[in-house]
Amino acid sequence: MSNEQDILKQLKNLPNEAQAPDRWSEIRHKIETDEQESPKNKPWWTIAVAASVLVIAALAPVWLPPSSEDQAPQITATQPKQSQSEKTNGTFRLTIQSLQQGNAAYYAKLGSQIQAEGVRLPQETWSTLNSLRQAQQEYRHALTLNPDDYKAQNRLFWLYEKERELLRHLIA
Amino acid sequence: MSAIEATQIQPEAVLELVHRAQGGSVSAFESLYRQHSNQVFLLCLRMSGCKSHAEDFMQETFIKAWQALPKFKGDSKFSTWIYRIATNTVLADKRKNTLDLVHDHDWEREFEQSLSDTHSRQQIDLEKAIVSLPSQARHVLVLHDLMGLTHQEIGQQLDIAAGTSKAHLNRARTMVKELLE
Repeated sequence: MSNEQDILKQLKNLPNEAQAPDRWSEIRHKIETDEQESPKNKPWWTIAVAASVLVIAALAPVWLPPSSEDQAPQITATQPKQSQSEKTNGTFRLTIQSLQQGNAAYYAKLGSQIQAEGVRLPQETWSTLNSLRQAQQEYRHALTLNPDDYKAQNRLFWLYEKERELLRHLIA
Repeated sequence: MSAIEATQIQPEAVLELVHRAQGGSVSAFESLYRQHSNQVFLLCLRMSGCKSHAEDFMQETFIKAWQALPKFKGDSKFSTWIYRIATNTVLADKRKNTLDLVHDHDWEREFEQSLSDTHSRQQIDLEKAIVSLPSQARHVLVLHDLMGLTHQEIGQQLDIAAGTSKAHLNRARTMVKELLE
C-alpha cells in the first residue's frame, strides 16, 4: 500500500466526534432571549395595530391626486370665481383629510394603549375596523373617478366619522 | 450512558425533531443538539485547531442553526446542513483564523485532552498533524477527506477555484505524511 493510500485509510478511520463541552444552557439562554425580543412573538394584533397605524398615517394626506383646487379659495376682486362644485369638492377634501389625520392619531393612541396595557381587542372589533377601512378605500376610489359624486362624498364622510366614533370609544 | 455512546437516531426521527423545532420546540432542538454537538465540535476543532475556539464555534453554530431553522427544507441531511453552518462559522471568524497556530504546550495539552475519550494515541497524532497544516490546506483536507465534500463544494465554501482546492489537498496529504514520519 502506498504512503498516500495509507494516509487516506488512516484519515477514513478517524472518529467522527469528540467529547464536546455541554454548552446547552448558554445556547438555550440565547434562544430564549432572542425569542422574547423577537417581533414574531408579540401578539398578532399588536403588529396589526402597528401596521394599520403606519398605513393610515402614510395615506392620510394623500387620498386624492393633488390638484390646484386643494388650496383654500381666496375670493378677491382679481381672482376668477370658483364654481360651486369646485368650492364644495375642495372643502370636502380638506374635511376628509382632517378626519384621516385625526383617525390616524386615534389609531396610534390605541396601539400604544394596547401595547402598554396588554389589552386584547375582540375579533369582531377588528373586523368592524377592517370593514370600515375597506369601505373607505372603495369610496375614495369611486371619488377619483367622479369627484362630484355627492352621495359617495357623504358616504365617505360618514365612514370616517363612524371610524372615529369607534376609536374614541375603544380608547375611552 | 455518555453522549458519545448515545444511540444513533434514525434519519426520520431526526426530521421529526427538526419539524418540531421549527414549530418552536426548544426541547426538540435540544435533542438535535445532543445528537450532533460532538460531531460539530470535532469539525470546529479540526478547522480551527484550538479547543477553546472550537467550543465557542460549536455554541455559535447551534445558535445560528436555531435562527436558520425556518430555512431548512429537508433537501439535505440535517447533519450536512449543520456542518455547513459550522464551517461557515469558523471561516467567518477572521480573528481566529488569519494566523496559523502557534504551537505551545498549553495548546497541545488541551488539544490532546479534547480527543482522549474518542481517539487512540496514533489517531491523536494524526489529528495534531492535520491542525499543524497551513490553514487553507487544513481546511481543504478536513472538508474533502474527513467531511466528504467535493472540490466544487469546497471551492464555494472557501471561495477558491476547484483546481486550487485540489492543489491544496495534494499539498496537505504530503505534509501530513511528512509530519507523521
